[in-house]
This record gives sequence, C-alpha cells and structure tokens, in this order.
Amino acid sequence: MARRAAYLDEVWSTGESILVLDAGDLFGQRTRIDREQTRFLCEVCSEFGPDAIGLGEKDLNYGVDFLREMRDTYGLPFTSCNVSIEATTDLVVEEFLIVERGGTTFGITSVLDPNQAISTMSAREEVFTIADPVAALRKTLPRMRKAGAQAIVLIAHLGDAQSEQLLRDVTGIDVCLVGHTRRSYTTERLINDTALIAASFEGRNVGKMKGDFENGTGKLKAFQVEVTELGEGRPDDAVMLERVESFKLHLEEFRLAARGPYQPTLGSADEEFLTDRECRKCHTDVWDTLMQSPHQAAFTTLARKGQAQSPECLVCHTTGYLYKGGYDERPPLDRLKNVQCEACHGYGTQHDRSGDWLAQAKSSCVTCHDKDNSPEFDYDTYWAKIAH
Amino acid sequence: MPLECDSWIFDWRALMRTSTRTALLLLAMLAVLAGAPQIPTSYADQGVDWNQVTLIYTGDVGGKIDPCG
Repeated sequence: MARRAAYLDEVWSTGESILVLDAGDLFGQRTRIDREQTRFLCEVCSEFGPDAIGLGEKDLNYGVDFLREMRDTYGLPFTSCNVSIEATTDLVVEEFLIVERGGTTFGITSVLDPNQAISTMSAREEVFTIADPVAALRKTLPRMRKAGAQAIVLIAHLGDAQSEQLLRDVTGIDVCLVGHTRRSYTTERLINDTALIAASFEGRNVGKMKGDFENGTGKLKAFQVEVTELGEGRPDDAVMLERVESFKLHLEEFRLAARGPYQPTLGSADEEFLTDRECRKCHTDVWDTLMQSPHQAAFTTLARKGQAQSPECLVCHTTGYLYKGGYDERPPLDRLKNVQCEACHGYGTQHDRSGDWLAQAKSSCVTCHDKDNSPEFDYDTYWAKIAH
Repeated sequence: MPLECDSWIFDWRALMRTSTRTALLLLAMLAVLAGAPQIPTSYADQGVDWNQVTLIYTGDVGGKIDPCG
C-alpha cells in the first residue's frame, strides 16, 4: 500500500489526466481477520481516487450489505452489468459509470465470469445470478452510449482466454482491463481494435496505459502500456507506511482476541511436536539436506514481510499451526517456526512411540503448495529441493 | 529468321518499359530520402485532434495490504 501510494503520488505530480481503475477481487478471503483488513484496504483505496472498480467474486465474500457499506462509506465506485441478486433481480452495484476525464467521456462497466461460484460469510446467504457477459454487454453498451459515453472501458473479470473470446464477440469497446488473472500485460495487445491491459496480482504490480482518444468520438487511436512491479526497490510513502504499521498493531489485537477460523482444532492434546532437533538425533543422514531447504526459511520470509502475525500465512509458514500443541507465538511453542519435519510427517511423539510416520506426507505438500499460493508447484521439481 | 527478329524487337521494347519503371521507382525513393513530401505516418499527421488520458490500473488485490511470503 505504501509503495502504491508513493507510485500514485508520482503519477499525479505529472499533471496528466488520470483514470484510476481496479479489475475486481479487491476483497480478501472469507475470514474475520481478512474482513477487518479489507475494511482498512477500502478506506485506503478510497484515497487513491478510484474511478471504477470491477466486481469480482471475492468482492461478495462478506455479502452484499458489506459491499454496499464499503461503497457508501468510502465512495468506492463498484460497477457490474451482469451480477444480480436472484430474489429481487436487482443488479448488485451500478450497471455502468460515466466519467469525464481530459476532454473525453468514458463509459465504464464490468462483467464477471458466470462460472465463478459466489459464496458469502454473511449472516443471510444471498443467491446471485451471473448473466452471460456477451448478452449483458449487448444490452448495456447502447445504454452507455445513450448516456453520453464516447470511449468504452470494459473491466472483464473473466481471466485471459475468456476476455479475448469476448472481444471477438462484442465490438465497440476501446479498452478492456482483464481481471481474474495472475498475468500482467507488459506489451501492447490489441483484439478487434480493443486495447487489452492487465496488472496483477495481490497489489504487486500497477499498470499505466497512456491512451490517445480522438476528440469528439472518444475512439482510441494509440496507446502505450507500462507495468511497474512494486517490489522492494520501490520507495514507500512514509505517511502510508506509518498507517499500515499502525493498522497491523490493531490487527494484532484483533487476532489476540480471536485467531478467527485458524484455531488449533486438529490432532490430539496427548501428542506433542518435538521439533526437528529431536528428529536429528536419529536421522542425521537427512539433516544437512533439510537445513538447506527453503522450508527452513519459511518463517523468516514471512517475518521479513511483516506478516509473522497473520494466521492465514502462519498455517503454511510454521509447523502444526492448526494442530493442538502446534506453533504459537508464545513460548515454548514458538520453537515450531518454519516448515519442520513434523509439518509433513505428523507428531514426533507418535513416531517415537510406534515408529509410524504420516503415510500421506507426500500428499500433504498440496495443503500449502496449492493453486493460489504455489501456482507453479510440480511435485517432482519441488521434491528435488528437499529429497531425503 | 523474321520471326526471331520480331521476337528480338519485342523483347527489346519490353526491356525498355521495365527500365523506365525501374528508373521512376528509383527517383521516387530518392525523393522520399531527400525529404520530399511524405506519406502521413500517424493520425496526428492526418490532422486528428485527440485527448491523452492515462489509465492507472491494478487487479486481484485479494484484500492484501502487504503480500506475504
């Protein structure tokens, strides 16, 4: 956030006409801690001056009421023309937005992939209808033109392939911002006179497209894209950094009150994690290999990012976090930092007693190396890094 | 022989036409290189008036205020 704030300050200082967009899935996972964090994120994002935010399936994780509360409290301009509440058939948010910028009138809307499952953690479970994006756009685009839109911007929360297909079926769109992707388009891409842009993921990248729109018609005549990775080399905005750090302290209090859904409910209170130093006493042959594996730096990596208190991260960056007797920040369980032997093989006391070890150790890899957190995971390649 | 002679005359004329075309093409290229009137290369050169707007965009932030790991 601090780097994004610094980046935006830099862009605004140029005096250019700026249109700020987000491709959707702004909100976090369906946990209380993530909801608290999302609230803060919304507050900060509102200060970034967004002109339009596409609706992703995650933006309904906390229900319509929460979404509308964020929209109304922080003035977040969500838009979507194909997601409605089944019971009332009302669209969840504004069908489209009209924004005047730099002499051009922009019409902005978004569509969500109908194959996405929307489930909420709100008290009353709403059911949503996601209409076919092509059919929805064929109704909405003429309305946008009628409302004065010259240039049409579509936020396609459809992923890469479906967005490209949609642009072959629907014409008259000047710019298409692709969401629900992990890719960032670092070169100029064009399909049927529509510029395709994307900058993802988890706020790690921010995109900038300089577009030349014909005066009077709003037709896109030329464009240039640039994607900036907000890595450690980028400067932080000092004020924002302080706010983020202060919020983390608040979140820590929030976590102490409750670990949310990440309670240590698995396993048995009669068993104990012995730590890898105990394992070493017998398994000296594998010790060196394990000490050099990336698993041994799992917690350090997390701490360096200031996320050592995040339950959703600790599940995979420590040993036994969701198990009784597993990692806790309080001693003596804080010795279970990193992914130690018992993270895959189970309680040491069990093994010590019977010689058994968790038979499904191999399949346990994917509990953390899942599609979201380890998209490039391949068992054979990754196993080679820790082979023992 | 007369046939061969006619054929030779025909080929000679064709050769002259080709040479003329080649010469004209070379002249045109020289003119372009010398800064003579050029074909418009952008919409700006065609007199199109436009507005420049910068789009700043992110996506799939997923509630993160700082990425972990």
